[in-house]
Amino acid sequence: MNPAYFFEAIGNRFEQLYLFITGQSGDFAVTVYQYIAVMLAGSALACCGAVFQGGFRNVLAGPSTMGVMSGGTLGLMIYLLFYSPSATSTTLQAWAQRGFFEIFAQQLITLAGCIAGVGLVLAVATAAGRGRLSATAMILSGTVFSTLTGNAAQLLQYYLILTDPTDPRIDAIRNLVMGSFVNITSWRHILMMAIPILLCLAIMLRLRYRMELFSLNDDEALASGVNVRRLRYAIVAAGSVLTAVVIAFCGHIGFLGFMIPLIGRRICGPQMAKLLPASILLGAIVLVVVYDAAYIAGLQDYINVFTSAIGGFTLLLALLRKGGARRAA
Amino acid sequence: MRIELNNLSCGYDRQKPIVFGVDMTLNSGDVCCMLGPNGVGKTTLFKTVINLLPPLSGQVSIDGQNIRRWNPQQVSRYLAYVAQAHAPVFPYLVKEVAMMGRLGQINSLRQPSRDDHDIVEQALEDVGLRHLRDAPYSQISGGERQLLMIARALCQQPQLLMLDEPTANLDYGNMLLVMKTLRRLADKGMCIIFTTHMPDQAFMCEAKTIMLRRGQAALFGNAAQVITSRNLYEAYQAEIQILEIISADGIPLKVIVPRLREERRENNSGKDI
Amino acid sequence: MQLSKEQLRFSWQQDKRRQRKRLLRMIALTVAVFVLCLCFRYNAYYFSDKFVPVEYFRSYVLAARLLLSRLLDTALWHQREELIAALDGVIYAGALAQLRNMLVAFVSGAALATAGAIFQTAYRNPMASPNLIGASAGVGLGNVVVVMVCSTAALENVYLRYEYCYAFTVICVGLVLLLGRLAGSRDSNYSILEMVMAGSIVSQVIRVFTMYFMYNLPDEELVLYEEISFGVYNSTDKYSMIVFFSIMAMSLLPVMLMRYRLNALGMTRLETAALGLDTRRLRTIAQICGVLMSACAMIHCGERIGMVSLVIPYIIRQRLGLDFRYLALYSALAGGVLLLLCRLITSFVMIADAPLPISFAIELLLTPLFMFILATYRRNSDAD
Repeated sequence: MNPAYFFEAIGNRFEQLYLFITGQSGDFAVTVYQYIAVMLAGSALACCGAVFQGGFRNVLAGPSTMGVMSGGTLGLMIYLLFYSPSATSTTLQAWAQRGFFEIFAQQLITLAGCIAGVGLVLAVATAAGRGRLSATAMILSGTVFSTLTGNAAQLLQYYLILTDPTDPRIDAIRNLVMGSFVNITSWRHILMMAIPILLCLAIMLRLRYRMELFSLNDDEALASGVNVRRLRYAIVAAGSVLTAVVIAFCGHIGFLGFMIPLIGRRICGPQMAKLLPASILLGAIVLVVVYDAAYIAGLQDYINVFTSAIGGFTLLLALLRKGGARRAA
Repeated sequence: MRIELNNLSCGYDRQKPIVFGVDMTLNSGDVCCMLGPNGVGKTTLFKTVINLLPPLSGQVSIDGQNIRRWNPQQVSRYLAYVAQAHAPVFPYLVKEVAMMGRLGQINSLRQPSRDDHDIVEQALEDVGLRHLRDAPYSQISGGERQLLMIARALCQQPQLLMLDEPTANLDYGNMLLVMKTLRRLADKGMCIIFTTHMPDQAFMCEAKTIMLRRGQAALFGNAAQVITSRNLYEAYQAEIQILEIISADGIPLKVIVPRLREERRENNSGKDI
Repeated sequence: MQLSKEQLRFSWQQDKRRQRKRLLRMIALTVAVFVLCLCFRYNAYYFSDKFVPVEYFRSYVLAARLLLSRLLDTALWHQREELIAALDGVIYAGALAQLRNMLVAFVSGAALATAGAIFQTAYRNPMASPNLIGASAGVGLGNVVVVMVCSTAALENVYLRYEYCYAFTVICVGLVLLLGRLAGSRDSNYSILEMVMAGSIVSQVIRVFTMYFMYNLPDEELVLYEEISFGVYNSTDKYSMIVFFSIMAMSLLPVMLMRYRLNALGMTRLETAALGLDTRRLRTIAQICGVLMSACAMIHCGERIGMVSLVIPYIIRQRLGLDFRYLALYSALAGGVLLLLCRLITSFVMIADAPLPISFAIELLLTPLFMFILATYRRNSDAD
């Protein structure tokens, strides 16, 4: 790829931004909405990952490994199956400009799917650990469940293509699985995204000092007077809401939720008081950068690929560095 | 069978031998107890003897032949190694664990035959575990697990058994059981080397002893020769008395008594050796 | 105390009898399921259409007679057209296709289960499987690349699929092993955790890339990829059968013959050295065979069928013990039976004029089972 091409593309973006700010161009509005959505999605996923990692005391926890994202995908697929758009609206644009109540129903079903998914994974992990949470069982069941829902999504798409190749649901599934911000086209969408996300972020930030208790034993935490179990439920619920909103509007964006807290921990330590705000900020910034990079490469409809690739390589680097340190010792 | 270690030194790096100056001769029916502090190189010495590590200098010879050029299968016909019994990952049955001792003796494409089965049964009988042959490995006691490890090694039909801390995690009764079994096997002609942290066991088995010391050549000889107060002090940095007493049957026995408290020796009953 | 000949003979016969009983039971189950599946037509809608034992068995008998006559070169072979037409050419072809598909399904299931058993023994971990080190991700990538590059030729020419899928599987698995080794400690005792982590990361990244390539395919090729990936399309012509069975023979037979020796995979290096074995070579051979046979099975049945390797050996271990001699055998039979039964059941579920893909049905069945196993798994460490 030509380096000049990159600089030209970046220059273009800034020029558009300038035009928009000075009120000379209205087309950029959609792009701005998408960027706002990107920031919201990034911070939501990063927050979800950080609180999961803190709440379940496991570095590998995150929305994509604990069945939250998979459950949401499943819920959304069920929605697509049964609440299909009306016969007259067959274009993607029409699909994007759905009515308020339709979107709300979609959100609810996605949320139900998220909670069901994470509930299943946690139930298996609790049963496996005989009361406590078994980390391996959690990760294993989360992985297996996400494979199942991924395959279910692909199978649904396959049947849809077989029966009617022009079905807009096919593109909808593709956007769902690959993560795309194409559906964000008006301020209404932003509002519907922002309200639950900001609310949950605020609640989590408020509770972040209490989350330190998770680093203690359950018995010791009990002695401090805070109801640990209720706190955990709150975390799971908030995480589910955050992920559900992201999935319903932006699709499946993997690896982010559990990579950002890893980086955040490197920067400012494992204390949740500092980690949570840092993760939220970092999540927004990182996803904006990734989205920009994807846009320049022409891949803005495949965010999932980008985040997975980057996340995967970061993890591998971390793994290798740990191994290298161990070998030198 | 006769195994000789001639001026053997072992280690991973030629410049830094971990164990050196080992001179040892054992015949069939001998029991040898290997003593020494933690990390002094007992496992390294074992690895060198079974030819897993090349010796840095000196040689190991069996019946006069240097075993350096032998392949693992030839070595396994003479020597068998008994690992410490550990918590199992998979609950194999006792007879299946014992059968694995035949792994090195059966051709890779063949299944165990009737003869192999007979050897396994006899080995289980020799250690006294035959009544447990169908039990899962995870449900027998620690002492029985150690005996099973011994039985597995016996299935190789070796002439020398090397045991790595066979009584480390066993309670007193199980420890005595294992010691009794070792003594019985030695009486039948097996040569046995075992490492331990309890010098008492050398006296229990009427064994020869080899003591490994950090930075010095190893000592070999009869238990009475090697296990002296001074040697034990050098090895373990502790004041240990060795007393000879007469038991109720009139047999002289040697007992090892560590001194924990710093007190003046006023009452000196028993001879200090 | 020296054991007498009678005592030895008694315990030997007791063991043999028990094993023989188990083996016979398993074989009887396999044969029963085989015969059951032979009676059903795959692509029909209603039960009356599906259940055609009489016609199919007549076809099989005729096929057997024709085969015999061909070998013995009797006159029957030259009359084969009339004989087949007398039965109904379509039914005859359908019956033979069903038989071939069933054999492929059975051997695939056996291969997957055996590969799972090998990896679970080699890594001393009940949750290991060939997918752990990237086999299914490699096959998936191979599938999508072959469709991208060769389009419909991929359907006709099964060798292309074999080439691409194996190439990518080798790359993928090699990458995972290399990363696992780099990330682990110097000890050659195969640090399991690092391997698992490297494997899952690499698998996930490759899967995402596979999906990206998939979405850039035009529609017909997308459908083609989905069909190959889910194992809907079955190539049962003579040459692909030959290739399939020869690869399976090459990898399954050595494993089955070395069943007893493979017990050594679960022991530490010091122990096996003392026994007189070199397990490095054994480990390499076993893992290569495992990846070879599971990749072959996945090429034919779609790469999403990985759960069989994970779940079947686990269940067999719980029921029938751990000795690899019996574990391999019974896992193979159980895996084959599972695939046959799933094929039968999914043929009753028709969506869009085709039966539900077998790999998805297996996943649907085995995922809850796997979760149940996870939930109730108790490590057998009864310490004293």
